[in-house]
Amino acid sequence: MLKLSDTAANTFSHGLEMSFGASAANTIRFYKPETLLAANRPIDTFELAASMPKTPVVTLPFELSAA
Amino acid sequence: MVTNLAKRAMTTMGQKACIVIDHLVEALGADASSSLRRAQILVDIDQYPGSTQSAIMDRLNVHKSALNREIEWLFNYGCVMFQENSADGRSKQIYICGYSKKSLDAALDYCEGSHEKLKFFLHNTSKTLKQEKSTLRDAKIVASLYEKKEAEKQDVMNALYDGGTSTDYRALNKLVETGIVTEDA
Repeated sequence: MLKLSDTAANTFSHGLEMSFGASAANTIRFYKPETLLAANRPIDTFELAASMPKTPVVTLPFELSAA
Repeated sequence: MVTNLAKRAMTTMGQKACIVIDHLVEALGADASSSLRRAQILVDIDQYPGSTQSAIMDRLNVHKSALNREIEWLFNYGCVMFQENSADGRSKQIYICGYSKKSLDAALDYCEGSHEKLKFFLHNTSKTLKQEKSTLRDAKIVASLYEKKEAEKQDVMNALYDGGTSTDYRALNKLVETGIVTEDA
């Protein structure tokens, strides 16, 4: 049985990825529903978005913040 | 158009490499002994229609006499045509033509129409092969084995072109000698 050496296979694979790999134009991307919803909202709904907090919000792990 | 998109979507990268090499062989007068360098020159001529030999020489960093030989070969096989250069009477402008253009377009279809991507594929394949004058036949052996992972010698031979069995075996043996292809006992 014949096969490519590991080095040859790796080098060749790199070329294939660069030449025939999925580019940004034809890559299928998946987003969370809320991200899509936010992306599709009409421009006037931006007014409904929460205002920027005056002080930075302290983010804590769920257990700590619940306590 | 839709058929082409579907065909490309359903093809693995190894298969794409095999198909692209097949189209390049077609574009170069069905001569699988054509070097990867020759294929690069043809791609460059298509990318920059109307180039002069010196412009191609600068872009590809090919020696003048080597480029002369390749351009002459391409002309004799009906792959390119010349036109008088209106800007400089001493040089001629070179254009890809006929069946070569059609076959090269088919190859480019797998690289999103990007000449640079196709050139990179050829450059990288040449780097993989590590030979002074790698041919499209060598490239097809590597692409077939990449796609199949493992194969019997005869299966690899079957994927090649009608260039004579001894030529095919010689090419494969050289790849084994140089360690590009390994053979189980």
